[in-house]
Amino acid sequence: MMGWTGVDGVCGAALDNGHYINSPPRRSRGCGDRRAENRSYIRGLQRRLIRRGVEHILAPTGEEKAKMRAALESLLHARKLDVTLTPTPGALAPLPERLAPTGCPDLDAALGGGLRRGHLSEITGAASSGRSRLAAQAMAAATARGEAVAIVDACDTFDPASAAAQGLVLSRVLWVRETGDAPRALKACALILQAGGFGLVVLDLADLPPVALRRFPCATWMRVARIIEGRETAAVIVGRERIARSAGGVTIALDATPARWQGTAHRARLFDGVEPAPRVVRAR
Amino acid sequence: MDKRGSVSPSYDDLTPGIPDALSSESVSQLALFLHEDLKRKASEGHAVLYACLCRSPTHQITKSPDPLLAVARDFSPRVMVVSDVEVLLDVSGLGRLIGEPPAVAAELGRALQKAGMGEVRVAIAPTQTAARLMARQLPLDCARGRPDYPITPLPNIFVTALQPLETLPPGMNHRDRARPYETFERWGIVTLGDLVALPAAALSSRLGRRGVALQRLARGLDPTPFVPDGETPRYIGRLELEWPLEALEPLSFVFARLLEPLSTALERADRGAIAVRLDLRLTDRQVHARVLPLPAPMRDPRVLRTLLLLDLESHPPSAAVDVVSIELDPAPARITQFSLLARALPSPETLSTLTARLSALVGASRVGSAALLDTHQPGAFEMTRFAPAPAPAPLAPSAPSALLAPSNGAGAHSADGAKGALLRRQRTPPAIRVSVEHGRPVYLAAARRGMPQGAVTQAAGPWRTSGGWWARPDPCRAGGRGPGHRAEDDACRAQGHGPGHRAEWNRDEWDVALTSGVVCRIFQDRVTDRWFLEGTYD
Repeated sequence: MMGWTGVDGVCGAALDNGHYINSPPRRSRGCGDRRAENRSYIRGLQRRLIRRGVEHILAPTGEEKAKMRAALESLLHARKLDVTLTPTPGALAPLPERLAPTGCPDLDAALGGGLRRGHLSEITGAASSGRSRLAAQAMAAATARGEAVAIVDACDTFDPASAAAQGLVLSRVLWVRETGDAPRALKACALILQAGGFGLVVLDLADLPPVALRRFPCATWMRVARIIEGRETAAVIVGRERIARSAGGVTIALDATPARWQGTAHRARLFDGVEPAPRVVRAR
Repeated sequence: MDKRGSVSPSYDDLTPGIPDALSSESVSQLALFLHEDLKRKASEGHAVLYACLCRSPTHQITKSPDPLLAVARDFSPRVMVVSDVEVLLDVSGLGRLIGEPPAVAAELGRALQKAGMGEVRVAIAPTQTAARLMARQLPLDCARGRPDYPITPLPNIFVTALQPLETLPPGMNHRDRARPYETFERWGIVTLGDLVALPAAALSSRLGRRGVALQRLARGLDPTPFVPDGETPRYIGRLELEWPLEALEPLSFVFARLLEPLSTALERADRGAIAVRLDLRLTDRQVHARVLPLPAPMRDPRVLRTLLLLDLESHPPSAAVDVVSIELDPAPARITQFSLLARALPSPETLSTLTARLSALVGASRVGSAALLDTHQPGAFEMTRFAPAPAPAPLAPSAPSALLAPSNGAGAHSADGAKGALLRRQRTPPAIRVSVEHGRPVYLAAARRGMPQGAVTQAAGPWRTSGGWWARPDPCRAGGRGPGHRAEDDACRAQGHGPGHRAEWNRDEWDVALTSGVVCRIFQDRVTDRWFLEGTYD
């Protein structure tokens, strides 16, 4: 194939068989005929290339497979999309420094050590399923490690007294309250994530109607995930249902469980709390 | 402590082991102790060091400004002229730039030589009095070739202890002008060391406060704190604009132009800004003044500019800006020692910018850190500035928390709710309708969508709680509330209450579980008999 530039500035390429792509009009033959020939030749060429490529992909050797995978991974890594890769069975687990334990041993064991730093995770569940308690425990564990945490409370329902009873060190918590609507809450969360230095950032959207959250395009959550990529911050969204579906983070779904009560007599009964039943839902 | 001054460390702090009463023989021991302590403090970099520049009384000042003062100001912004022949300067931070105190003294001597100052003594000591005492007993030509500085050579302190009483610096304490030298002479007290060795209690009983004050002077203690002269440089930038500016974006360039030289000047003086004062003269002849207190001394011009712009976003001027004036309040620069073991926290600059941005976004009363109040009022807290302190404990794997362990059953009803759940509290509890049978709630009907409602399957209560009846009626509750009550609402919100907050409360609380599985806390106001939803457990 040879490239050329015409006097009128129209660029084209001469194929091996003498045909031209974007060839200039010739007076000797009709322009329509020439273009039709070119189109048919290109279609044939494409079919041959695709067939060869598919054969190459479908029947590669072991070495070729490894090369192809490495090439793909390097491409994805260059574009910061390597979190979408499925880990190979022999892949190394994340370092403990890259994990933020939630303070719940069972859940941490299921998560492989805790929430992944630098990724966006979610805690979902219905009301009274224990999602706020789980988020408060993760925050309490972070403050116990000496980290600063932040909570963006969209509907201003965070109760400092009961959170302190869970072990949360309030002086280490940056609380942004009553943001009013989801976009503002998201903007506040993005500001905190961009500032950096926080061990855990919780975005509490549990009391917002799901319709308002579904209005966000998927790219919004990808941008949020991109902000914290590679940082020391673990971001958690508390909501009714999965909205972000981040590739690198995890989703902890809490099933509704009956509340615990003490006592049987009417006048001697006490509410003892809810027992969260966390279920780790992988992003993929 | 004076606002501009600083309290000098006393020899009592430096030498905690020195008894009040010392024998004459122990003067040398005192000198040795002081010398070792000075060396240790200076090596640790914690000592406040003063340099005394003392010239000959016969020296005639022929230039203006005084070269001695000019040299002192070149070395430190904290300079105090104590007499016609003596100038004190704070050289505490010069150790990082020049080196040990002898090196600082040598550098001072060279600068004085360069300035044409001939007979000048240079002495460095941790107190003003000690520096002055040592400067007086040095030879006059110490700044020329034969420096004999008091920090390193031990004999200087011996010499100081052997100085006659008359060498005590005059004018250090105006109460002690009439000094009881005759009494001392009758007692056989001739030198400073002799006076130091006297027991303080006996001296006080015989000579009163004057005697004790003289003894403290002889020990090198300062009677007054170091107060720098009023000529401390002010960091002011002012720019008259060629045409008025209305938008913030062009103002940001003006701020950058003003702040960068100010920041450079602060850096040269090893200072940071603890507050930024912005005065904008407007076209309507008003002055839009803003003061930004900063959480820590900082001098990054970009951070300061961002803070000013964010503040102006929240508090815009009423007209176009004609003249911009920025003044930075200086403070000693912040020295940060990071730890390899503790996790890094956001820097004060980052936090200031972040808080300012968040305040501009959602309001200043809605950003901060919660602090619980010492009250039984449900949901009471106050918002404070978010300033996390570094963790003292090293980074360690988190211990298994007992939080998720099953409750031991001892959790009684409390204002914070059950320990096994977190209360999602409604700041302004919405009214609900509750059907009651046999004194117990059996059905909840919500007033609007999204609120829990349904038949009650479990209920625990009532728990009666009341308080605040002694307080005055809340002004924000009295009368009709219009849109002009925004400031009051913000004040209520900053204290953790909703806009319709009442100081007193009197109610019966219930924890109820609904058929939908939601567990919530409701209460009945005993004054109005109305039911409210306080929150849901989650």
